[in-house]
Amino acid sequence: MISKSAKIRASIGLYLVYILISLFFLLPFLWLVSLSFKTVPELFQSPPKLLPNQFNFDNYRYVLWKTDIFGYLKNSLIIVLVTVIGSLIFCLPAAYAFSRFNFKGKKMTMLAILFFQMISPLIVVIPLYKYLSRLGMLNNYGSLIFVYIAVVLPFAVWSIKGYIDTVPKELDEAAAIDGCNKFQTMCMAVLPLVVPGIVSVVILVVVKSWAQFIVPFILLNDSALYPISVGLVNLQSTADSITTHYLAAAAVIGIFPTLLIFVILQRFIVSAMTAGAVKG
Amino acid sequence: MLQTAPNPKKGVVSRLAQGPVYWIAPLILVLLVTFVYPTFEVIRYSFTDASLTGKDYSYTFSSFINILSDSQVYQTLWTTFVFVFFSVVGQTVLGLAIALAIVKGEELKLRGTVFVRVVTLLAWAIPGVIIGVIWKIFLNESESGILTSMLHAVGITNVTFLTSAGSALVCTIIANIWRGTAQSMILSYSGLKTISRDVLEAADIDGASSWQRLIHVTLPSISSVLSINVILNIINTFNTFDMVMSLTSGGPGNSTEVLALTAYNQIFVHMNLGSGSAYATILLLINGLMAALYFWFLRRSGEDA
Amino acid sequence: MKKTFSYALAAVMTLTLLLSGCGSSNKDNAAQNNTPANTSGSGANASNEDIIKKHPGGQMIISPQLIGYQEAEIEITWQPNPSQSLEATSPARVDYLTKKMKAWIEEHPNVKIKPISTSNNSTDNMAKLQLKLAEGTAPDVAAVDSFMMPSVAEYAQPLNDAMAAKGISIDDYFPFMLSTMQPDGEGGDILSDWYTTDVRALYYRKDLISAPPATVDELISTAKKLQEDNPGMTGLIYVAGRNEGAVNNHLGIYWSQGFPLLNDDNSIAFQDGEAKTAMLNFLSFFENTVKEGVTPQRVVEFDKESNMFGDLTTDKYGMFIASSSAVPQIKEIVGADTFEQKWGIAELPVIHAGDAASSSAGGWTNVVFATDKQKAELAADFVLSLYSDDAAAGEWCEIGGFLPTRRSVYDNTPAFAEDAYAKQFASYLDQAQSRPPVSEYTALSSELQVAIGEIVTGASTAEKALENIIKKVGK
Repeated sequence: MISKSAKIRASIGLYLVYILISLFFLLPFLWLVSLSFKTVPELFQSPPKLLPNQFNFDNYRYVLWKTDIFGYLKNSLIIVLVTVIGSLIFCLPAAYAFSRFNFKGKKMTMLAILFFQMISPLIVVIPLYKYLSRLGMLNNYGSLIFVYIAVVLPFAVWSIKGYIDTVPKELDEAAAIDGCNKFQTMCMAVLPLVVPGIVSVVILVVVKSWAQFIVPFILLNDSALYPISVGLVNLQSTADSITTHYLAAAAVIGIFPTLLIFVILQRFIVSAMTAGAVKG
Repeated sequence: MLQTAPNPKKGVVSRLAQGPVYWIAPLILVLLVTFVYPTFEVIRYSFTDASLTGKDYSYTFSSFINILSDSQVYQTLWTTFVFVFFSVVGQTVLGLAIALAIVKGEELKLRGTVFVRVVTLLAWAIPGVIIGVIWKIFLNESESGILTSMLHAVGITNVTFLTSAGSALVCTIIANIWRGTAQSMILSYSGLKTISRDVLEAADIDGASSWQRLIHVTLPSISSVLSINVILNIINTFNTFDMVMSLTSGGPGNSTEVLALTAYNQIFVHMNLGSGSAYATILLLINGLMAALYFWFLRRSGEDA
Repeated sequence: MKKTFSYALAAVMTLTLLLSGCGSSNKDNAAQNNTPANTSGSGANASNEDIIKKHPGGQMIISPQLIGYQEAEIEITWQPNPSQSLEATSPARVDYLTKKMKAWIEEHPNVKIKPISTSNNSTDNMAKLQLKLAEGTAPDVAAVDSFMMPSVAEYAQPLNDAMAAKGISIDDYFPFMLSTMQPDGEGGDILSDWYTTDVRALYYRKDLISAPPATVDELISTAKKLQEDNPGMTGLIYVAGRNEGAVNNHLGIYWSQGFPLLNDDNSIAFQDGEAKTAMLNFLSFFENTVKEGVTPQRVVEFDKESNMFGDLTTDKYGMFIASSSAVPQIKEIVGADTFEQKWGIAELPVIHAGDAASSSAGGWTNVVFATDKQKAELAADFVLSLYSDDAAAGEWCEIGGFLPTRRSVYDNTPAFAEDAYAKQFASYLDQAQSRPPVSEYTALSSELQVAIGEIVTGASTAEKALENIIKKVGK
């Protein structure tokens, strides 16, 4: 057993690490929060102040009431939710098959799927526009979400396959002896053990879809359908107006839903672990 | 392989279970439908002189000839390599380190582990273009810049961030690490969480030091997750352009110009679909090459083991 | 093959659609089909007028998604510049546009305007427009960056009648605009309405500099003297970040020497001879200002003019080069009085004493793409009423901080007739040029931006950079 003093030393060391990590990740963000409370003249104040002269909520008020940010957030939530469900439906069985089945051309298929991950949306978005335009499927969540799902699928399959690989195969065999078929084995025996992995992939799918810009920008015409990412980018300063303070406020607001999703989801990572420990 | 007798009540499910086809086909179909035709089109456009508006274009090799005879491309490739290499190393190592620190903290029942995880994730909720804008404001070298004025306050002057070739690339890499570490952290963290407790406890009983435990037990157990993490980081970084675009636009000079940004500029700024598609095709080729290399590497290490 | 493929796609997409349950069907097409059949010829005008005036009932909506009555029979799609639409962040602009739109809908109750949202980033915006034009899904009317206008000209519909009906004469516009508005020359079709503009100038501290420098050499010596007299002061800053502004803001310095950037066949005009020397002089402007210590290397981080404003709020800068739109923006930051006490404007410096100064002008145009005659007329009338006619132009430009594009607007609007800056800018517009509106220029500008960055950071010299540009975009 570890001695108490060693434990204290480890804790202090870890807290130092935590502080360093937090500083690195928080500083630019804190500055963003600070900007979100500033007026235009304050944006350009020198020397700058980390704290604004007074906390002025005008920027938030503007973003909340004068822009369609609630609409954008709602759109993003819908898109992300359906993308998550859709991508799980397509990727869980495939990931399980790649981990557990032995078949000819498995490695080649995996490689091919990985190759699709490398086709970035930037590369295909122009032909995709032309193609969907001819099918009359532009400005439409159905086709948009389909593309979102396709974009996240390869990495989701690869990651979840990786997690399933960590589950011993003996478990499947035991389930088979108990009379489970492959599908039941996957659902009842294997997937519950990789919930932390699935949840982390879901988190990544959420953020990836949340921040997607080029696809919705090109495929949607109607600002009422825009997700938050496009709404945010459109708050950038232009040559004839400075809007950094609004952008900052909107970015802060736009981060909250994903934070919330994450805080909720991360509990599953922990609880799944303890559940596994009890069973083990 | 063990196969149970088909249960008549669950005929469909059992049939699904027969072979891999039904498990994988839907996924493959989605990918083919979305990507094959557009990818084919991009490759076709790369052999044309098409503009974004123009309907009339002719087939030509000129885009490729121009690209390959331009010495700039080789500099861009080098910059891309440096950018990808250091970003990926940074993201993977930092992500793993944070995940280890959090797991260790949880073992010691420290407070604040959730906070650290949330903080790491912040950047991911912001579109790349906006991340570039934020970092550009953060690194502003005028007296109204926050980092500059903080450094001035402690007596450090004469630091450049985005205004000289070398430091601009360093800053771009740091900003990209800031942005992309979340993925590595989450994947490593849940990888660590799926390691069986028994394995770790067995190592403890053997009297292994924490370092030995990390090298010989922890890392090998999550090697599958780690290698996926690395390859995903490479792909992400290699194809990213949005953050670089708003942070430096590839400047000063060409010092931070990466290949994906060139492709974007050709299509969206120069409206040159032919040339932009040629860059995209080159991007695809290099991507494919990396995938093949990775696979070859996996196979070889698999045989050795 | 292709057919089966699309069937497969349609099938899978339907599945997704069912799953999502939130796809918006293609309302646009349905609405377009409801449009009354097109009638042409003067005889039908009366009935057209009746249709337009027919009140559809319901509530008038003025929103970023719809302008007019939901039930209106005629729909016009409009792709505005977001910062000049109801999505603008400036309340003054939104109020103005709302007022104008209300008035227009009252006149045309049976017409609804469907705004199409794009990006604030004008290159993304223009790329998307081009894509739509190529696919035949273009909006009926769109705001087009003046400099991109020629690339969409083949799809543009004439505005001659609509402008005549509003009493707008093409002769009223500044000379450099004519080739963009009327590409076929005098008497030809007017294919775009240039409705806002801007022009570049040298801003100087008039409380510290008695006479603004006229040449680049004088500029450097003035800046040096300023730095000697006022320790801690920086003589000159300008936009040198990798963006169009780094070239566009300073092109006047090159043009003042009388050479074009591109020949008639769009090849690079400065490959040899005097024009090459002229380009070298232009690039040397950047080299010398930095080498002489009057401009810090740091200017490469300014990729937008607004990036300079933080510095300009301090009293530590003597001169800067920026467009006319900097005036209202800096006034907002430091206050109008402070700005007017401190900052004077002058023409961009020239290379050779005695040459006429020049400057680059930009701005936005409205272009109608609707091929349906009635829609085209209505669309043109809508944007002209919003931004361009005598009742609109002065107020719009004043509110937005733009320069008007017609001379008579300067005379008839007090804000411009009585404003010293506006008067000066108007005189610069007479000498101004616009960038060559061809893709060859975009490619050249890109190279120039890289060169300026390398010269300012000392990674290259003006001479080496010039040779490099000629090697790359020459031929």
